[in-house]
Amino acid sequence: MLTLADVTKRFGGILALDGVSFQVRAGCIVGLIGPNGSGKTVMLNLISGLSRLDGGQILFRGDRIDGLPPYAVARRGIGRTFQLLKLFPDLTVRQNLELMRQPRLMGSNLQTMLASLPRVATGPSAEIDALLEMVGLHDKQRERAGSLSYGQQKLVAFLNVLCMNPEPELILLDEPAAGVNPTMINTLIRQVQHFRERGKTFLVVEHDLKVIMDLCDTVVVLDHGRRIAEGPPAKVRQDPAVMEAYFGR
Amino acid sequence: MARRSWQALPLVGLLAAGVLYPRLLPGDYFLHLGIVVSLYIILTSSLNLIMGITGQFAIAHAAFYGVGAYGSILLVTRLGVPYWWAWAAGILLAGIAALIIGASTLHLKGAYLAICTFAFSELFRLLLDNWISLTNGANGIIIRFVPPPIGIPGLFRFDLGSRRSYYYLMFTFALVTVWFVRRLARSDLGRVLGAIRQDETLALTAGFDTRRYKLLAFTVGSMYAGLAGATYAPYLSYIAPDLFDVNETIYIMMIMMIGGIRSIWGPVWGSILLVSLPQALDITPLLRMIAYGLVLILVMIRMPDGLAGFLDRLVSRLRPGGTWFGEKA
Ligand SMILES: Nc1ncnc2c1ncn2[C@@H]1O[C@H](COP(=O)(O)OP(=O)(O)OP(=O)(O)O)[C@@H](O)[C@H]1O
Ligand SMILES: [Mg+2]
Repeated sequence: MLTLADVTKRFGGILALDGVSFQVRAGCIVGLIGPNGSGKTVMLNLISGLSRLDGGQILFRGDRIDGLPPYAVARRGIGRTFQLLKLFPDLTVRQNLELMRQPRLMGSNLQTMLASLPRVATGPSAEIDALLEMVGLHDKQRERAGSLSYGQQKLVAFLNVLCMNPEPELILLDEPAAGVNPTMINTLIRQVQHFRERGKTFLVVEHDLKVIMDLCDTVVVLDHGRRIAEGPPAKVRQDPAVMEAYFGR
Repeated sequence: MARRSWQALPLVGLLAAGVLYPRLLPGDYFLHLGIVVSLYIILTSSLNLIMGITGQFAIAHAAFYGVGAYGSILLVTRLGVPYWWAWAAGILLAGIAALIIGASTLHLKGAYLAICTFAFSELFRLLLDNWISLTNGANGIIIRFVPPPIGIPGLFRFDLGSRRSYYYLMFTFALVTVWFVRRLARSDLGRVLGAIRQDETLALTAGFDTRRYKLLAFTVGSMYAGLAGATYAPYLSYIAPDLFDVNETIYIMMIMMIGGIRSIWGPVWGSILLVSLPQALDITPLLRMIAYGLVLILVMIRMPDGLAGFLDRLVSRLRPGGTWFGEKA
C-alpha cells in the first residue's frame, strides 16, 4: 500500500533520513521505532507532505505522492496524528469530528462550493455517536476539546483522523501512547485493532514497547536516519543491532 | 424550528434598534453619528472575518476600504461612469486587489504577514499621494455629486439627497454585513476558517486546502471594506489618502478588540461605543487615539472577550445560560 524507496532528508548538515526503504502492506499494523532523534517524525512529515524529500520516492497505491501538498495527500487517503498533540481546542469534541466529516469542497467546482455556504454545520450523525461511544467520550461531546485531559484529547485527535473525509485508508500515528494513562492506552490499542479488522492500515511510531508488541505485525527500526532492522516485533527485539542502538555505546 | 427563529432574535433586535434610532434621537447630528457607526460596523465585522475568525493578521483593511472609495469615485469623476455602476466596480476592485495581495502574502504567518500587508497598505497610500494627475495627491478629491436614488420600485427607495436616507442605506449595509458574517461563521465553511485559526497544519493534513480558504475569507472581507468605502465616500464628500492609511486599520482593529474579537456582536458594541463617545466628548484626534490606547489596554487586561463578552457575563447572571451578546464564531 505504501512504499518508501531510498527516502532521504537533510536539514543543513544533518542527514535526518539516509536512504530508508520499507513497505507497509494493506491491512497491516507496522511499527516504526528507534531512539530519540532517529528520524521517525521526519519520516511521517515526508509521507504526509509537510516537508519535501531530498531523495528517493514515496508511493501510495502505486502512485507517487512525494511532491503533493499535504491536503492532496490527505485526500488520497492518508491521515495522521501528531507527536505534539493537535486538535481544534476551541471547538467542542463533537464539532471537531463534524468538521473532519465535512466534504472537502474547496478545489471542487464553484457551484458546489457556493451551495455549501448557507449550510449550517452538519446535523446528527450516528457514525460520530458510535465512535464517541466506543472510546467513552460520549458524555464529553459538548465540552471544549481543549478542556479535556491530555489522554482524552489524544483520543479525540485519533477519532479526528478516523472521521476524515474521504476516509483514510492508511493512518499514521506519532506516539499515540505517550503521556496517556494505561487504561486509555488499552482503549487505544483496542481501537487500532478494531479498525485494522475493518480494513485500515496503520504505521505507528511509538516508544512504548508494550504497545508495539501488542499491536504490530512488523517493526521497522531506525537509528540515525538509517533502517537498521525490520521484522516481527519479537524477533526485532532480540536483534543485536537494535540492542546496540537502544542500549549500546 | 422554534430554536432557529429564537436565534434570529439578536438580528431582529439590531434591525429594530436601527429603524427606531432616528425616531428616538432625531436631528442631523444623530443621523451623522448613525452613519459613522454603521460604517464602522461594516469595517469591523469584515475585519473580524479575516482576523478574528480566520486568524490572519493582515493589516491592510483600510487600504481595501480606500480602493472601494477611490475606485468608485475616480470612475465617476474621471470616466463619467454612473455612480451605482462605479460603486459595484469599486467593490470588485477591492476584491481583485485582495486576491492579488492575498495570493502573494497569505502563506506567511503572524508577524510576517502583518509586516507584508502593512507594506502593501503603505504602498497604496504612497500611490494615492504621488499619482497626482489621477488622485490629486494629498489634497484629496472633493466629491460634488449626489448619488442617484436607488431601490426597488414599489418596495423601498433610498433618496440619497437626504441624510436620513443615507443613514438607512448605511445601516442596511451594516445589518447585511453582520448577518453575512454570522451566517458564514456558522456554516461548514466558517467552521473550516475557525479551524485554520486554531491549527492550520492540522487543517492542512486533514485535507483542507487552507490557502484557498484563507484567500476566500480575505477577499470577501476586503470586498466588504470596499463596499464601505464606495458607499461612504459620496456622503463624506471628500476623500484623501490619509483616510485610508495604516492608522485607520489600527483604529478598526482597536474597535474590533474592544468590542470583542471573534464575537459576532462585538463589532456592533465596539462601533457604537468608540464612535459615539469621542463625538459626544468632542475630543481632539490625538487625545482620542491616546484614550483608545488606554481603553484597549484596560480591555485586554480586564475583559479579554471585549465588551461583548463582558455584557454576556452580565446577562448570564440575570438569565443563566443565556448568550445574547457574546455569541462567538
Ligand atoms: N525542521 C527541522 N530542522 C532541522 N532539523 C530537524 C528538523 N526536524 C527534525 N530535525 C532533526 O532530524 C532528526 C530526526 O528528528 P525526528 O523528529 O524525526 O526524531 P524522532 O525519531 O521523531 O525522535 P523522537 O522520538 O524524539 O520524537 C533530529 O536530529 C532532529 O534534530
Ligand atoms: Mg518524533
